[in-house]
Amino acid sequence: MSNEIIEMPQMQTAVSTQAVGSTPSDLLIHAMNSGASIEQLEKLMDLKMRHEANEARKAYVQDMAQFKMNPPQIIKDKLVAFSGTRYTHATLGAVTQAVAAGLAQHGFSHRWDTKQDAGQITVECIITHRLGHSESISMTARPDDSGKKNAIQQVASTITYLQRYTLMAATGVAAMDESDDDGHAAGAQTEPERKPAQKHTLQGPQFDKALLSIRSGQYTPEEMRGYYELTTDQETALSDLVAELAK
Amino acid sequence: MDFRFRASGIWEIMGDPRTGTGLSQTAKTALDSMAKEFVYGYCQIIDSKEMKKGTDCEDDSIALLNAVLFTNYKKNEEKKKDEYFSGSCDLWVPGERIRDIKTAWSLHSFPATSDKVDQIAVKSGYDWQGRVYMRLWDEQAFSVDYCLVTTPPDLRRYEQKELHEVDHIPPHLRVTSAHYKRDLSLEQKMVDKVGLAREYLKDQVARINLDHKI
Repeated sequence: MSNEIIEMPQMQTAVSTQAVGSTPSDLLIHAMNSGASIEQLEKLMDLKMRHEANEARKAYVQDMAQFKMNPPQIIKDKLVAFSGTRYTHATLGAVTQAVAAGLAQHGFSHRWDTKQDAGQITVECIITHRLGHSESISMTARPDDSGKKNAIQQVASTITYLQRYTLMAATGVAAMDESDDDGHAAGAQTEPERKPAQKHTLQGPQFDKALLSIRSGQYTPEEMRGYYELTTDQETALSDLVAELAK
Repeated sequence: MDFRFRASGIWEIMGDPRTGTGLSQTAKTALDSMAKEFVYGYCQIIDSKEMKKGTDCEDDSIALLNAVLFTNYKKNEEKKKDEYFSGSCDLWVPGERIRDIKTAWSLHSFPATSDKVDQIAVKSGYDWQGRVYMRLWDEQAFSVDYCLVTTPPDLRRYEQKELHEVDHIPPHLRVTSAHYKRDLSLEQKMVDKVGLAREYLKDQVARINLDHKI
């Protein structure tokens, strides 16, 4: 019985302390219940807002760090090939799809604001966290007048280009893979990524057939060396044949 | 208004009807579309990842074929036509044969035997395509060469990597061919079908114009 009497006040104290608490919200409620003045309430409200903003910022940084630990893979989904040049790049659709899905998993969303002023286009990418903290990155460029674009296409090309780059910059993804294309294309150009073909060996009968083809002028030593890894003996035989044909 | 048929599209009119002679229903459907494209002045472009690989990797496939046959064939750039047909073959080996390069989408779809290549060729009409080329270049033989080369990552996307990265496979295992001989009776059949198709097309074009008479 005596134990119960001792325990009860302790529990009440604990509950009472928790009700007042130490967060600005708790203090605000307590102040309201205690009949605090408007000035005091305003100060507490201001404190509460700053506290929440700081918590949201901390959560943003923490979740963005988590996002960057496992960044999404950007698929270079468009091949550009012309006059011997060949490279792939990621379109805005591919970048947005990959990044937005990864961001959403960590409570982020994104949007762009676009402004035009004095012939310059500014695109701002705003990343917002679920607790309300936002961070943004802006980039400005002139309309992309490369090629044969009309006025609308020039503006659209620059917006597309800036949207992709601001999103990548704001989230820090794909920067390692990119190489600048001087804004000539609305694509994040990357270096040609095709690996050189793996060389194979030639077995005896195949090698003899290849030599016959070289002898008849249907095949060349360069093509053979380019595609096959020759043994020392094969290289010697090939060199002998080249010397013989040169006579 | 005499339509000339492309080698790659001739197969569409070569089927026989279930009963009697003339054009098959498949042929008529294809010709209906051709008549519409003619009147309205458009051309439907069919695109797919498989076709894109065929275009993007054609040089790789020719290099592979050259490495296997120990040849230095170069891509043919010439387009030829006669009264009935037009076309541009992939490889022309003068006095020997026409070769048509097909790039397999993946290791899974790559035909590993000549019988399989023939099955695909007959089903897809590559044999008829070759007969047009043999006629246009006046060659007596034609080959369909299926080549398996690595798919560029941007085309492969999320598909199984080991079915698309195939450079480690010995080159001779990555080319399968089927061969065809020129057959003048089959060539005549193509000419006859073109005659029927032209008549049908004229009727369809006239019909579209009649239905939209100003």
